[in-house]
Amino acid sequence: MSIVGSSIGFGLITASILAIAAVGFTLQFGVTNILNLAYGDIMTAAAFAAYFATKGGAPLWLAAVAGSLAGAVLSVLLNRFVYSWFARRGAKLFAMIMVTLGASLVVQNGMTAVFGPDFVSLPTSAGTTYQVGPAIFTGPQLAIVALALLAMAGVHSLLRYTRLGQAMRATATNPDLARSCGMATNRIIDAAWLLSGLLCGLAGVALALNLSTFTTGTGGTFLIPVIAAAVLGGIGQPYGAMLGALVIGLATEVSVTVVSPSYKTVVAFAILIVVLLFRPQGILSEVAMAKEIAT
Amino acid sequence: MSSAVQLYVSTLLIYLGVDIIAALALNLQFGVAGIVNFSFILFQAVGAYVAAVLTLGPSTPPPAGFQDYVLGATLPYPLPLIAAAGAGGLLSLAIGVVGLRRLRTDYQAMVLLVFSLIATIVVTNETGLFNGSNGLSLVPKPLADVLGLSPYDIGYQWFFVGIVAVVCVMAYGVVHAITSSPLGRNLRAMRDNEHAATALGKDVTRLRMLAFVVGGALAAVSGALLVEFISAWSPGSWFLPETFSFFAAVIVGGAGNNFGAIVGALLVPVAFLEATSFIPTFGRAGLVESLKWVAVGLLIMIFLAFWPRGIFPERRRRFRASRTGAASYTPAPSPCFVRGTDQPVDSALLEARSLRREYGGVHAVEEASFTVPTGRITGLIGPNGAGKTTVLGMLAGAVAVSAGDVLYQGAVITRLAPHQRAQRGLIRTFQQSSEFTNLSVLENLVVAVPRARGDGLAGALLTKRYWRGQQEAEVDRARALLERFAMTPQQDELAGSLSGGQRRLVEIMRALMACPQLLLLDEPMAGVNPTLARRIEEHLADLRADGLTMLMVEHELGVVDRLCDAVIVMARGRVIAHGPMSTLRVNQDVLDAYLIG
Amino acid sequence: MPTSSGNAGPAAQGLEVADVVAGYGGAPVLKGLSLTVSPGQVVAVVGPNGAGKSTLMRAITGTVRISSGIVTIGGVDITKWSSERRSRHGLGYVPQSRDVFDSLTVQENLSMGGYMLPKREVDDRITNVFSLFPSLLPLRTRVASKLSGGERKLLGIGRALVATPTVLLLDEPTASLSPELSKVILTEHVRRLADTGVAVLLVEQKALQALEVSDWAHVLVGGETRISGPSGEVLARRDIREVFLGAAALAIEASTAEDGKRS
Repeated sequence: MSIVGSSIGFGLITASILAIAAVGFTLQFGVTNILNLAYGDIMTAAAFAAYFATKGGAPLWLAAVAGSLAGAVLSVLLNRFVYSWFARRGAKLFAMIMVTLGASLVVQNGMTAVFGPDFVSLPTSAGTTYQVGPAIFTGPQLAIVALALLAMAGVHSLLRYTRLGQAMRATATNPDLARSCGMATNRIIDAAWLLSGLLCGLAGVALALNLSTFTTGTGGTFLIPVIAAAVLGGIGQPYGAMLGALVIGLATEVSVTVVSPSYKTVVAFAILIVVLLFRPQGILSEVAMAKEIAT
Repeated sequence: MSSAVQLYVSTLLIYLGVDIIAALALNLQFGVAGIVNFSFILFQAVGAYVAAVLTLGPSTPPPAGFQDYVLGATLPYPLPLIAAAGAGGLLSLAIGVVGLRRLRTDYQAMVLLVFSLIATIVVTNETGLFNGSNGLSLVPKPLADVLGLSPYDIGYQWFFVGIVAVVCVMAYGVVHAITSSPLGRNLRAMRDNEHAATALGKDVTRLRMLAFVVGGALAAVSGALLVEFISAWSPGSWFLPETFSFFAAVIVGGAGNNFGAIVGALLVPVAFLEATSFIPTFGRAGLVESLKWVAVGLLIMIFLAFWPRGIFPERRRRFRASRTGAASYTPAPSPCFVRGTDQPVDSALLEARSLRREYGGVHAVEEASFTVPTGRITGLIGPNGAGKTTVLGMLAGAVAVSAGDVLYQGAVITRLAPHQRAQRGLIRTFQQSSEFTNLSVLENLVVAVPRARGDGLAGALLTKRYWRGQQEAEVDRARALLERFAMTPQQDELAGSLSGGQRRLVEIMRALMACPQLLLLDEPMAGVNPTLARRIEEHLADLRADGLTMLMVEHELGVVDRLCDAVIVMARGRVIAHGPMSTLRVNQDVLDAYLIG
Repeated sequence: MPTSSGNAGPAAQGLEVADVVAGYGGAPVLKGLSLTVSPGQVVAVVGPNGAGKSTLMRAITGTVRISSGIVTIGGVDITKWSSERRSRHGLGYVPQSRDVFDSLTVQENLSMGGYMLPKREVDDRITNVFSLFPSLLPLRTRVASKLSGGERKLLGIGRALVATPTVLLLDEPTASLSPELSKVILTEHVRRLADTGVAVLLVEQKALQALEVSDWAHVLVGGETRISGPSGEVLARRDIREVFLGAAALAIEASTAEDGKRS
C-alpha cells in the first residue's frame, strides 16, 4: 500500500471530523457573528461525556449520543448566559473575542481541575480492518466517515428543506428582516446554537475515537484547523465549511509525504493565515464579504 | 530577614519587574494601540532565547555536549539584553508586515495566535535551533563572575533585583514617553477610530507597526531578564496561556493606563500565578495550576462585564494653561489653512475627471466630472442613492476609483493613499460621527495637528522638552477654535460623551486643526438641531470669508441655496447639472431628479 | 360602532397613528404625528430628507421607542408590542434596503414571508404572489443576491404579501430604481395591491409619482405634517415644490410658466 494512498485515507478521516466541527462552528459564527474560541473545549467536554458514559456501561453509539447532547446543552448555556449577555450590552469585537477566550480558559482548565490532566481513551474494538481502495480503515474510522456523511446530509436537508433551517439561514443574513417576518430570532439563534452544539459534540466524540487517547486540551488544539476549514469555506457557509474541511484534512495528512509529521498542523495554520490575509470572505462566499464591510 | 524570606521576597520582586515590563509592552500594543496581540508570549520567548544563546557561548551538540543551538556566543553584559530587544523588534517587524493588515480585530487576533503556535512547533522540532523541546539550560547569570559573587548567594540575588529595577524604570520611561507624547495621542486616536485618523493624515499602518515593534522589543527584554534569572528556557516556558495572563493583567489594571498595567502585573501574573506557587499545594497534582487558569479566565470575563475600563481607567488628559515664552515655535494662524499663493480665487483647486465606481457590477457612480473652485463653497446635491458620498470617498481616497482621475492642485492624486491626500491638505469629514471617543474634546483637536513635534518615535523619546513648546502653541490654537465655536466649557470632556450636535462641531474643528486647503464636508448638519445647524452654517460662511475652499454634500437645499457659490447636482450616479445656483434654478432636470427620480 | 365620524369606522380596520412622538433619545424626531390609512387606500408620506419619514416607519414597526401617542391596527393598540408580534398581527413591512434574504432563493424568501402561517396556506399564497408578480415565477430557484434591482423590489414586496398583511408599509420602494421601473412598481403593483383591500402606507422621497398613485398624502417637514389632503389637491398646490426645493423651485416654476406662455 502506498504512503500517498494511506495518507489520503487518514486525510478523509481527519476531513470527516473537521467537517462536522467546521459546519457547527460556521453556523455559530454565521448566525451570531461571534468567533467562539471555547468551541474546541466544548468538543473536549463532549468527548469526556462520552467517556464517562462508556465507563457507566453504555455502548459506544449511546455514548456518542450522550457526547453530542452534552455539546449541545453546553453550547446553548454558554451563549444564553455568557455571550448573549455581553452582546446585548453592545460588546465590541475585541471585547467579544476576549470573552470567548476567557470562556475557553474556564472550560478547559475547569475540566483539568475536575477530570485531572491524564490521558483517557474511549474503548474501541480494534482488530478488524477494512481495505477501501488503497487505504485501510478500522471499524470506528469507517464509522466516523459514515457519521460525517450522515451529519452533512442531515444538516443539508435541515437547512435546505425545513422551515427552521431556512429561518436560521434567514436570520444569519438579515436578522432585522427576519424579525419583521415574525420570526422569534432569539429562539432561532438558540436553535442554531443547539444544532451547532450537537455537531460540536459529535465532532468531539469522533476526534476522541480517532485519536487513541485524549486529554482536556485535545479539543483546544484541534480548534485552529476547524477555524481554518470554516474560514476557508467562508464564514456562515455550511457547504463551504465542508469543502474547507476536505481541503484542510487532505492537505494536512498528504503533506506528511513531503514534510515531517510534526509539521502537518502547520499546513493547516499556514492555510488559515493565507486565507485570512488574502481572501477573508472564504472561497465560496459573498455574504461574508458584506459582513466584513459592515463591521 | 532570614535568608529564606529574603530569597522569597527578592524572587517575587524579580518576577514583578519582569511582568511589569511585559505588561507595559502589551499595554502599549493592546491598551493604547488596540492591537489584539495573541502572539505576545512569542516575543518574550525570542528575547529569552537570544539572550541565552548569546551568553552560553558556542553550541555544544551531543554527544560531546548536551545542547545544540544557533548563534552561540559569549557577549559581555548587557549586550545579550540589547540584542534580545533587537531580535524582538525584528521579529515584530516581520510578523507585523504579514499580520497587521486591515482585518477584523478577531481575524487579526487569529493570525497572530497562529504565528505563535507555528513558532512553538518550529522551535520544538528544529532541535538545532534552540535545542528543541529540552530547551536551553545552565545559562550563566550575568556579571556574577565579574562581581566575584556566587550566583546562589543572596547578595547576588539582590544585585539582580537591582538590574531588573533599572531596566524596569527604563522600560517605563520609554512607554511613558510614548504614551504621553503626540505619538501616543495618535495611537489612541487610531485605536478609537482608524478611518477618522487616516482622514486626518495619520499613517495608521506605520503607527500600528511602531507600537507593535516597540512592544515586541520590550517583551523580548522581559524574556531576556527572565532567562538570566531562571537560567533555563524551553517551549514549556512560553505556553500560549501566558499571553492571556498578560491580557488579564492589562484588562484588570486598566487598558491604556501605564500605572494600571503595573498594578495589573502585580495582581495577575505575580500575586496570582507566581506567588501562589509558593503556597502548599492541595488536591491532586496540577489542581492548583488549573484552578489558577480558571480564575484568570473568570477575571477577564468579570472585568469585561462589570469594569471594562479596569481598576485604573485610562486617564483623561488635560492641558495646562500655556506658559508664556515657553514656545520658540510660531503657531500657524488660527484657523490654520493656507490658500497657496499659486491658487488664485476661482481657479480649479480640485478636478474630478470621469470618476466611476462599480460594486460587483452595480454602478454607484457612473460618470462624475467637475471642478472645485478655490476660495468657494461648492455644494454637491442630489436625491438618495445619487452617489454623492461615494464621490466624496473617491476624492478623499477612502474609496478606490474604478476609472477616472482626481486632480488636486494640478497634480493627479488618484493613486495616493487617503492619509497622503490628507497630508496635502485634502481633509474630509464623515456623515456618521467619527470622533475619537476616549479622547477629550481638546485632545480630539490637538491630535489633528499635522507633522507635530513628537509624533514620531525619536521625537517622543526626546520627551516633553522636545515637543512641549509646539504643543502648547497648538493647544492655544485649539482653544481659540473652541472659543470661536463656543465649545470652551466642554474642552475636557470625553468626546464620546457629547451630544450628536456637539460631535459634529468637534469634527469640523478637528478638520480645521489639520490645516486643510480643501475641506470635504459630508452632510455637516445631519442630525443636528436647527439652532446648531444655523450656527454651523454661519461658521462655514465665516471660514469661506477667511479664504477656505469647501466641497459640501448637503440635503437641506435651503442651506445649499444660502451657502454655496456653485452647485453640482448628481442623480443615479451621474452629474446631471453643474454651475452656479442661478443657472440651476431654471434647470428642469434638477426638479425632475428630485421629484421624479 | 358608536363613532361620530364616518371616517373612523374604516380607519379602525386599517392603520391609525395618533399624536406619535418618537426619536432616538435627545430631541424627538417625530413631534406629534397623526395619520390614518383605511383598507384599500394608498396613503403617501413624502418629504425631504431628514423629515422623519424613516423614523415614522420605525415607530410603526416597533424598532424605535414611541414616547407618547398610540399606534393601532384594526383598532387594537400595538404601541407597546414587539416587532415580531406586530407582524403577526397583520403588519407587513418592506424596508428601503436589505429587503430580501440575500442568501436564500426567491421561493425560500417567499416562504419566509409566511413564516407564521401553516405550511399549506403558505404554498397557496406563494402561488398568489407569483400570479401577482408573474416575472418572479421563472426565477423561483434563483438566489436573491443575483436578482436585478426591480426583481429584488418585487420580491421584497411579494415576501411581505405572503403573510397577507392588512397594513403594508413601503419604505421608499423606488429609491434605487429607474424612473420607468418606479412608475411600473407604483402605478401597476402598489395600486393594484391596495385594490385588493390592503391598507398601504407609502413613504417616498420622490414626491410626484407617489402623489399620482396615492389617495391621500402627507407632506412631512421637520417631523411634523406640513401639508395633508387628497393627493390630487396636494399635487396641485404651489407650495409643495417649495417644500422640496426651497426657494429654487419657485424660480423653476416661474420659468416653466413662461415656457408655457411662449408655446
